[in-house]
Amino acid sequence: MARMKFLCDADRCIECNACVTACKNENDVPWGINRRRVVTINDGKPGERSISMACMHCTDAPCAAVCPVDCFYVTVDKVVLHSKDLCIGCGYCFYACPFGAPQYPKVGNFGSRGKMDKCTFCAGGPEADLSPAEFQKYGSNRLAEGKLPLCAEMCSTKSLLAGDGDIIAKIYKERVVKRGYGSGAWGWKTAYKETVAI
Amino acid sequence: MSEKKTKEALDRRGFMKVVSLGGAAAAASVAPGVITPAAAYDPGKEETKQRYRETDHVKAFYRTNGY
Amino acid sequence: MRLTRSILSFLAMVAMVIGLGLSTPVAAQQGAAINPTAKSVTEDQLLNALKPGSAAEIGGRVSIPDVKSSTLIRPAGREWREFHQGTMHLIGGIAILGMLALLVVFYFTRGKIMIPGGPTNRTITRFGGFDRFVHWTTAGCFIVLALSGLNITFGKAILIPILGEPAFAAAAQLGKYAHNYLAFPFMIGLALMFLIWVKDNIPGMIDVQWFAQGGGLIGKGHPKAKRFNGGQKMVFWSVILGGAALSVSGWYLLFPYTAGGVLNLQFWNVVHGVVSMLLIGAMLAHAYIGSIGMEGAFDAMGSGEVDLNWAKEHHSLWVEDEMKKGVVPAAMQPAE
Repeated sequence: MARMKFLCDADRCIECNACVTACKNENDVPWGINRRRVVTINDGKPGERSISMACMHCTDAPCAAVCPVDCFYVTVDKVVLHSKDLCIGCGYCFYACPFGAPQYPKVGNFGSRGKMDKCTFCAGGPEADLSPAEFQKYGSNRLAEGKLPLCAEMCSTKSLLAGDGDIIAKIYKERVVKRGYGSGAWGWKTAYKETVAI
Repeated sequence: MSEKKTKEALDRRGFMKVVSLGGAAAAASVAPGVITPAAAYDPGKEETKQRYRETDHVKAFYRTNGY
Repeated sequence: MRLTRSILSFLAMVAMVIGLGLSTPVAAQQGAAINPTAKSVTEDQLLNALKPGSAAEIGGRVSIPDVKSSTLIRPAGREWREFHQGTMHLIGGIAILGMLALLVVFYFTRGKIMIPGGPTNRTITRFGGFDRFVHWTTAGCFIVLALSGLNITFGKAILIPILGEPAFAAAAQLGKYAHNYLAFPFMIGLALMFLIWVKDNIPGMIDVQWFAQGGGLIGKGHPKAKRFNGGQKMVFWSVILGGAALSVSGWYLLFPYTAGGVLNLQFWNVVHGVVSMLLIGAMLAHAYIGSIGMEGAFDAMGSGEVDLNWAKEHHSLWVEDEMKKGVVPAAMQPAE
């Protein structure tokens, strides 16, 4: 069974933020929330790299473990999804996530943070596939359409890979062999407790 | 002041003691009655089914990323 | 003079709580241990640059307006998760179930503590209306806060199998709102309790004697005590200090963007969880001895009028003081 993963080839990322924009547009993401963002480390110094980061859909996901209402579920594709009907906006997933993926539509307010929102690997939510209710709450369901997350599909430099973890790891390894260097599969150790040997 | 009246007064206070401790338990036991258990949310079948398929679209993505 | 001392002790307590805040983990700055001439920086290099075992984040620069999103990886989330799902459950289980077990054992060995001289028909005013109002406001809030808080920690394991997920989520949502809003009357109640009772709660030598004699809980006879005995002072200070810690940590959890980052929120969450579990355990003991554990004790907070014999047994020095002030014990009013 295919295990969905993201892999950002940091040596290709040019920080164009097209993935960020694509995600916001495709999923109609609410104001103030960025399901995906591009972080530049060592900015302006030698060794600078940009990495596009979103929910990594962890194995044994910390968010799901700490959720007090058990609103998370993992699909057969190993995509970590959640139900906004069950979410009470307590903020625990936000404390536990190593990637800063869970976000809330209301910031700095008292009492309610609103329902948590995060990357769905373009796989919608618990509502019926491709229904308006699903789109309204979670955004599009490209996996059900036989496609992959739009952030990866429209990456201009083909830096961001998404899909079957084994296949994208193979693609990445071939790239590293060809060009002779690679900075590694960012976040894989934390998310999947394994990494791509390079 | 009759013996009986004093005893009655103490009994009332005994009732308060029970209320103060039992209140929490009562609230907990009432809750299930107030909130009717709806059809259990079961993310076991439809929600978690496989959606990823290696369609031509997906194959094209893998192919172009290999370049 | 005594007031000055009490204010000083309060300030010391506040300073202590703030001190805890300053010792929260500060995000390690990335980049220090990285070779700038390296062809590329690997995740491993950055992860290794973080001190082993310390909570830290790897961050950079983002071009989107949300600067909070500039954290790339925060491995500390895993430690918090382990604490929250493991240690925290253990502490709560031991504090609450352990205390309940202890109380049951105590009840069956010591039994209900009776008034040795038997009740008289005369009463003396122990707590006025305002004292009782403040006590029950705080206590009522505390019960709801404790139950809704325990629900967040243990509800998933205990209540979801009974209620089902949608009903539980609805209940938990209500609980969260109750927790958020009742926090404010609770904090006001704490402050008022501190102001009205602190003058009688300054620890002294008499409390050492009280504890040395077993407080009347263990062994026979009642040690001397003023308005509050050693045990009650312990309850008072655990409520005030524990409540202050809960208030400060809860404040940051209520207003998450004032805490200065997720690492601090994790820290405050740990403080909030541990202190509340311990305080719930302590309050179970307080509720026990104030109700079924001791004859005549509930009246102090119930009607406010306690039996004269009870008062003489437990608070001999206080009764003497009251008598000197000219307080005349009233004949017991039958409850209508």
